[in-house]
Amino acid sequence: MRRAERGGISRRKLETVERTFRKRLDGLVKSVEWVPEYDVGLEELRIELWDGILADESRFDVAWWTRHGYKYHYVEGGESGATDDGSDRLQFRFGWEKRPGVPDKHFHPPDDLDAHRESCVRHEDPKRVTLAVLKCWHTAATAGDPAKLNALADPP
Amino acid sequence: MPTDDDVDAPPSVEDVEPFDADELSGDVPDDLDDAVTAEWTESTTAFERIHAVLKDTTEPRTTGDLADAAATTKPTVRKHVRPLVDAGMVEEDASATATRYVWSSTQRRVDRVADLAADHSPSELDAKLRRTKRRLASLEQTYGVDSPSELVAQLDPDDDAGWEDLSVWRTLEVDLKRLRAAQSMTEYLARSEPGESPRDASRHA
Repeated sequence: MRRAERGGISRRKLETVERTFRKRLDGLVKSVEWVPEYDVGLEELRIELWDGILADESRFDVAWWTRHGYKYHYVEGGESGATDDGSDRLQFRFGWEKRPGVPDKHFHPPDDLDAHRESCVRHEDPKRVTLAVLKCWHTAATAGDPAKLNALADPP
Repeated sequence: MPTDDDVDAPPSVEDVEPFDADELSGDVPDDLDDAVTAEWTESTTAFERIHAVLKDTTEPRTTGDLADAAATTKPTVRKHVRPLVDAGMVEEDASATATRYVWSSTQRRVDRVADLAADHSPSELDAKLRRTKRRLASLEQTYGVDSPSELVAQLDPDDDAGWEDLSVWRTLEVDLKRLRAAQSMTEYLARSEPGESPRDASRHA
């Protein structure tokens, strides 16, 4: 089986993501940046938050593509005082891609970023996927406990 | 550690309550997908959801598909899609057994080009075009092929960086067309500015 092409980036879907973050998290959104730029070769939407699960700051790097697929990569800590490779920061990622050998909708848990676990999020529209990701993050952040993410379809 | 500066302290996660639905109070539910759908239907009308789902379509979808995606019924989809088809915002394809609908790509593309032309000066557009061409040239050079379609044929399924670049290439191809169209539009608008050209002057004389 070949890996399926996902097309170019979808600005429309990313705008839905931005709107949903701002509306649901209100003042917690510290900044929003289109990387590297909105009109030329856009790769991701970077949303910085004023709070985190363990750290005081965090960010989501989000991408949605036109044909299928998304990524929500979460990493904690501000730009300053961070290690170069980010290895000691809390990170996780929700992803959807069609490639051989991994579940289409998967979750890379904080304790094993390279693993593709079956994700509890199965929707394919940016609104509901964003709500689901926010629910997982908000629950973990309120408890200060990454285990509360509960993002695996069949938690071990 | 409370200080006198607390009024200026950054907001914390305790300050927000993002969800309305009971299904999303407390811990992450085991049926998160259903809970999120409940939240969505509680905070929107069926028309808003149908509109949002249609706007994201790039390929024609059946009424049943759209009803599932918008968490509503087929009759409700039929009722709301009709005015959008009549207004030319949605295209109807009745050739197959089931009628299918897709957001008008013409409308979408024209809107984006118009936004670009309205928000940027000719020199800004020119700079963006040059950056687009530079990045395209760099991809062509890196992979030794002239197009993303040629690239996809030679990519290994596990070459994550290659697949990332493929998506960027697809994005840049569309960006190049949009920027060129926006440039033409600004030139056209500048020429037809009242009083700017001799023809306009004669008309007002």
